[in-house]
Amino acid sequence: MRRVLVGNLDARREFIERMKCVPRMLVVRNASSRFVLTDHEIEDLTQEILMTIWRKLDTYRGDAALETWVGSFCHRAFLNAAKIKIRNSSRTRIVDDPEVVSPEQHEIDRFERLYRALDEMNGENARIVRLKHFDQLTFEQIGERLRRATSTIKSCYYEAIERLRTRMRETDRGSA
Amino acid sequence: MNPSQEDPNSAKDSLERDLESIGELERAMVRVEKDVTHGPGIDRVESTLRRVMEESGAAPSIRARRIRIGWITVLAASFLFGARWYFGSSDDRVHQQPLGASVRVLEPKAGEDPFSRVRWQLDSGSASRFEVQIRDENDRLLLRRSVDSGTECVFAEGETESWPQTIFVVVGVKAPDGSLMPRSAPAQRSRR
Repeated sequence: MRRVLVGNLDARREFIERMKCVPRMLVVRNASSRFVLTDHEIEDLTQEILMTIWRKLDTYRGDAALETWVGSFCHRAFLNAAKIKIRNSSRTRIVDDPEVVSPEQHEIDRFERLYRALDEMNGENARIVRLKHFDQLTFEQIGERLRRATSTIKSCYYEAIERLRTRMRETDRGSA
Repeated sequence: MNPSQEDPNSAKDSLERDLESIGELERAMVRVEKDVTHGPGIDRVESTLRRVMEESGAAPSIRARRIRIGWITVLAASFLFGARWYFGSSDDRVHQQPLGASVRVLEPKAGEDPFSRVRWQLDSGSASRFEVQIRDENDRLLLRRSVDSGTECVFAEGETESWPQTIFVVVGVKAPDGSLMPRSAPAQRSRR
């Protein structure tokens, strides 16, 4: 990635090719949410995600494959866009009951808030939660990777889960 | 049942289930993305990335050379258009797109949140596809939005909350290749 950032042409060409995964991932995610976004919206979202990735590329640590790192951006950006779209369409809906929320909409809302709660948390604890659930590592593997004792990792993890649970309850109350 | 009414044990389960579901969805996206051969946005990846790379990454000497070449091109084009305008027939002049064709960003209405809505006016010519760009004080692109018809773009509160106090709005006519021509001067907006 350093070669990409300093302007190496070959590295940039390869990077561009690999970034074609962004719209492809969005298409996959959109299909699993019953095509909540239109093709134009996917196009716009692709551009927004690519710009975000470019701005944050120097924070990529190589913990996982580039596509896995990018996947996380795609997923949260998708949830955010879908949530905004659902919120806007429910505002303009007249006939439908705005209180009736489909399971997909409820899931999108919950997942988006969970991502946001993870963002608000201390970097190390959030990273442990991500490694455990998103990268499916065991506590021992996380300990090895972060060079910390397994017991420390476990206590950080449970502390993080507790804080996430509190935050989610607060936002549940806020959105109720 | 409302999640806030769940007991602590089941709440813990549901939180961890949600985290696992998110992880599974992220992995599924990465796993099957290669099966998607075409779709919206794929052909724009290269042009978008090249544009942001150029905006942020060109070496100063290359940038200076590009600026020089850009100026020479603009001067040459102005001279050629001017000559054609001056020496061309009157019919030509009627059908010629005026060089001053421009898009103007309109001021927000009184009492309106300046971040929530962008309106613009095309002073000459016609267009059906526009792009609204939101930039920060360092001219960094924060968001771009395509608008297929109409002359306004509405942003939801969730989209605007991460923007800085002062933003600059640029509106351009979107060509099929994704370029913006003409485009408006940046209009400054500040959060009230």
